[in-house]
Amino acid sequence: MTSPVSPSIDRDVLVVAVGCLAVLLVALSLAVLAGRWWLRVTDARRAGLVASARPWLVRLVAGEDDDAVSVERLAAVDARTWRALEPVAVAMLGKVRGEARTAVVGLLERRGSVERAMRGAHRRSAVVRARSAHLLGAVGGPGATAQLARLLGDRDLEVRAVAVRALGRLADPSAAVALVHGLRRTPPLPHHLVMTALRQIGPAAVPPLLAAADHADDLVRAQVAEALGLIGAVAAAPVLVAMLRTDRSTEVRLRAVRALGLIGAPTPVDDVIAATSAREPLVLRVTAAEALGVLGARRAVPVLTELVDDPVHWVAHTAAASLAAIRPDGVAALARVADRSGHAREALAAANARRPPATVRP
Amino acid sequence: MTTVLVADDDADVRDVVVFKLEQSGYDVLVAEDGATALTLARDALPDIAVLDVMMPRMTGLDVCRELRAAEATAGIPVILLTARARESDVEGGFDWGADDYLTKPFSPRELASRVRAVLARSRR
Repeated sequence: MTSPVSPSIDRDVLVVAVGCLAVLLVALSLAVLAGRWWLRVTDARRAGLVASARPWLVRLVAGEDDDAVSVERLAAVDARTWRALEPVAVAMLGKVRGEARTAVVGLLERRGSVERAMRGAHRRSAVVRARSAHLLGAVGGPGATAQLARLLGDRDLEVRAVAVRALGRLADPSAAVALVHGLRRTPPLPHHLVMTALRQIGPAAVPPLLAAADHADDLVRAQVAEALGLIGAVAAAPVLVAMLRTDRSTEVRLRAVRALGLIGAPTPVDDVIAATSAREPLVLRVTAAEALGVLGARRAVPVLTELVDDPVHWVAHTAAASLAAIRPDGVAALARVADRSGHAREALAAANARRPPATVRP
Repeated sequence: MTTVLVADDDADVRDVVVFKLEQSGYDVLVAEDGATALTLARDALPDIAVLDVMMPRMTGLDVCRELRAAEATAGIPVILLTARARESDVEGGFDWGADDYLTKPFSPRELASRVRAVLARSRR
């Protein structure tokens, strides 16, 4: 019996298939090469356009007496050159302050960049919305905070992240409520970015944070505690102490004790010391021992000295490191126990290595 | 002519600082990283150095330490430029003998004033 398709036809089909594949591969390679070439050409063209106008931008930022000349030159560059130069001008805003910054903001307003960004925040393209949020965060001005707060609810994660960063950069107190609400949002905003933004806003963010301190979600309460510590909110110490004493979540208690260390208020030292007790969860004991070092609490030296002999390696090591941070009492305590504790010897050596030698300056 | 060494890996900051200092009448030496800054300082012995803290190959703090360690360069006044978020670096900078510091974002006008003041102090 013979096959319904002859071997020669099979071979022909194979040759055609291989030929098609080869043509496709060549076409794809050419497309990739053409794409790369085009990117290089556009990059070079953009660099050329930037190079032609950047010296005037540098003059403007350096704040020389001929500011007006620089502004006029930059205001007169064609639209294509400005499109290339605008990101450089926006980047400059993050690097200078005072008159130099005011001059660049004035230029961006004059070129209509701010107005375009306000419109761009509503555009369909996520890239345009993110770019607009970035510019609004760099420039600020009327309406920028409200527009960025609206973008915290954007459907695109990257746009939301840029909006959080931009609000932190503006450090406008009126954004604090929106950012704290963002912690409760589903899906939530990028946690580390919100923490940074709240820290940048500073004490003005404390009231909305305290309002969220009894939120039902453990994670939100933990983040509130963390943010209060990063801000250094001394007035929030009683709330953090209450969290440390009574919260049902170890994570919340851990972040509260860390926050108390960062805040540095002397009153909660006894509560932080109590958190090092062997009855507490290990991770809380370690964090509390660490917080005592950050606090620089001399009252904690006897407790930390005892902890250097703790059977749990992690606790003993952290206690020794914290003693090294409490000068001079903690260092003296380390020296006393150095003969019997490897942790103490290690911490002492590290503390001595951190001291710079005397300079030879005349 | 007074010579200022400027070291920063950020081209925008570098260009603004160089332009401002040249306009203020200084002769400016430029480096894009710490190692080049150290070589320039050893070769040209500038009257003052403005060093960014975070630079590739060698940080501004390391450059400051190396300058202080050698007799020929120990007397060069140093101004550190540091990001506000890394202001804790300044403590280390002063430990290694830096004379002054500015945080970024910075004011070019203020930088020129600081250079003038530190130079005046060092010449007394």
